[in-house]
Amino acid sequence: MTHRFLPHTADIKVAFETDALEALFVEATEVMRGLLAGTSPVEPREERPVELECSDVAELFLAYLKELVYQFAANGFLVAGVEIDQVDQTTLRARALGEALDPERHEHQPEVKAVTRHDFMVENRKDRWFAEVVFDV
Amino acid sequence: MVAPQIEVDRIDEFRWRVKRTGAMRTTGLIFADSELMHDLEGDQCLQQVVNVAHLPGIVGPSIAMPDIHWGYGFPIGGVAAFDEKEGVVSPGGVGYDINCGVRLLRSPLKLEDVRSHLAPLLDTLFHSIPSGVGSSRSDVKLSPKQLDRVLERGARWTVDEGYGTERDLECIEANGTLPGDPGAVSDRAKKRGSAQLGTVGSGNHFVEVGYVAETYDEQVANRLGLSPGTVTFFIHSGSRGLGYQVCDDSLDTMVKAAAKYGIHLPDKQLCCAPLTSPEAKRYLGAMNAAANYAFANRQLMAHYVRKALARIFSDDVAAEADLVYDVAHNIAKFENHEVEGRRRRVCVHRKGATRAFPPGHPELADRFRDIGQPVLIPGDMGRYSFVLVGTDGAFSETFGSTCHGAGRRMSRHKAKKVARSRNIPQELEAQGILIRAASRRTVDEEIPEAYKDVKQVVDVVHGAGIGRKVVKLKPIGVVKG
Repeated sequence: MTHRFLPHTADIKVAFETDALEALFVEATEVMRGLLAGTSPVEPREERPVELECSDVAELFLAYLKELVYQFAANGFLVAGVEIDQVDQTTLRARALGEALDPERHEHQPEVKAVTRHDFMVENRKDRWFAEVVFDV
Repeated sequence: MVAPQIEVDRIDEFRWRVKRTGAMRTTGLIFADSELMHDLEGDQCLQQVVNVAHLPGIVGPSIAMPDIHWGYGFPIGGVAAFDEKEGVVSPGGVGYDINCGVRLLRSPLKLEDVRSHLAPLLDTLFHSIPSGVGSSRSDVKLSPKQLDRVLERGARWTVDEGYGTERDLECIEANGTLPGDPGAVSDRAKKRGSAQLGTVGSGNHFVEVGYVAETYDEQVANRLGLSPGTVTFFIHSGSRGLGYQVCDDSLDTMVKAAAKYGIHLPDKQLCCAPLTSPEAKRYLGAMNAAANYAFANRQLMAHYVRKALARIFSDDVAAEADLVYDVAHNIAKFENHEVEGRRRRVCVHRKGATRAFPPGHPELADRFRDIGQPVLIPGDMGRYSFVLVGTDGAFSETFGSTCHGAGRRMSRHKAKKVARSRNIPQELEAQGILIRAASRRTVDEEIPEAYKDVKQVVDVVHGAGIGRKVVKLKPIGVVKG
């Protein structure tokens, strides 16, 4: 289960490789935590239900990342991790765990404006999941 | 749809033509000098100029300004006009930060009046205009009804609430109000916007104190109140989270719309819909609403600049702090232009480009009729910015558009690496520029050398006649996110 940051002039591009679809969502949550809070610890003090249904797995993954960006932008919710109750190619039922942004404890990070569709990709090859995402920051 | 090879011919000192090949519906027109063009070789943004030339109903060339760089879908620094009946509108042609733009205020103060008060002035600005990620105001919280009024009325709402003057409205593109439709803006976008009015945000946004350092056109400079040494305030921000969410929501709709109307896309971020479609009308209503939010946002920040002047200097100084101009640089608008001898109504997309209307244009307030529309071009935080005016050349060649800024040449990651072992605020202070920032990281990512030299960009548009230089401003204090 890995992710790596790829070079990008203006924004942030991340490539994922995991052995299961569930792990892809877990890994993406970890990346979002880092983008929003840097190296500051984020405590799982509250949970937010995430229930999504989309036309395909790529749209589902995109919708999940967008949900985390929105929860932070609108409610100041910093994600620490995720408990996944059910995931398949079109449905996600999960609980995002985290806490409210506290400027005293959480390092200031550049604003994540959006999760873009540029070079966006989710693929299943030989029982492994690959994804690439560009975040507009 | 993607051209296999991009063929570029030099037209003259400042113009390059991208040949029409494959399924392109028009040519590309790039404004650049040899050096800027050399830097663009192999850059993906040239492919983006080509991609835009494929879109249905494009009128005139797919245009790139000298500050062009890669963007989502359309390049940043791109201008494209589409026929009102045959053409399309694309959220990627406007960008995430709808009506990101700049506003310039001039004070009655000179550099020598401000130097000794600069630190408390910057502190006041830093505390009264929230900056940084997710910055919000505790003193301006909008009820849903009030937010809808902002989305309908833009800067007019702000002035009616007592934050500004009628004169301010004359000095804003479109008088600070576009036909916005609050009903087309999602609840999520509204939630993101409810507490961010009057905040600068992060990234490359700023409030900058500067002064007139060099004059190129004395007559116009004096008309704009920009005599040598005049202290100015530059505000760079947009529609904040509300605009990002409107763009994001629209992309989802437009991906489906492009498929529905059979528009083939080389890049999903170019997704669009015919201007006559309900999807386009809804996007334009939401985009205009977000643009109004941005106009109101900059108007409110200008109010806090005036309040800071009143606190540090006097009420009289604050009352004489006039708005020079406020322009959008991420927007799509219906405008009338003459194309190949025929007057046509077109939807002009300006993404990282500034409207630059010439003297005599009926949309300009009387005070600008004989000099043309002021154009504000910010640079990086260490060097300089420029004020230009619009020209007939811009009106006839680029749908009344010119460049918008310096443009990044170094990734954020690389800039941070370059800045890591240095103390950037101290370096800038040694050059006479004080910094107040919500985060060190933003300052490091925004180091001057991360940007192209804006002088080179401005010299190209001046040389090509699509903008005319008036003054150069130098910074003395910057508030960053």
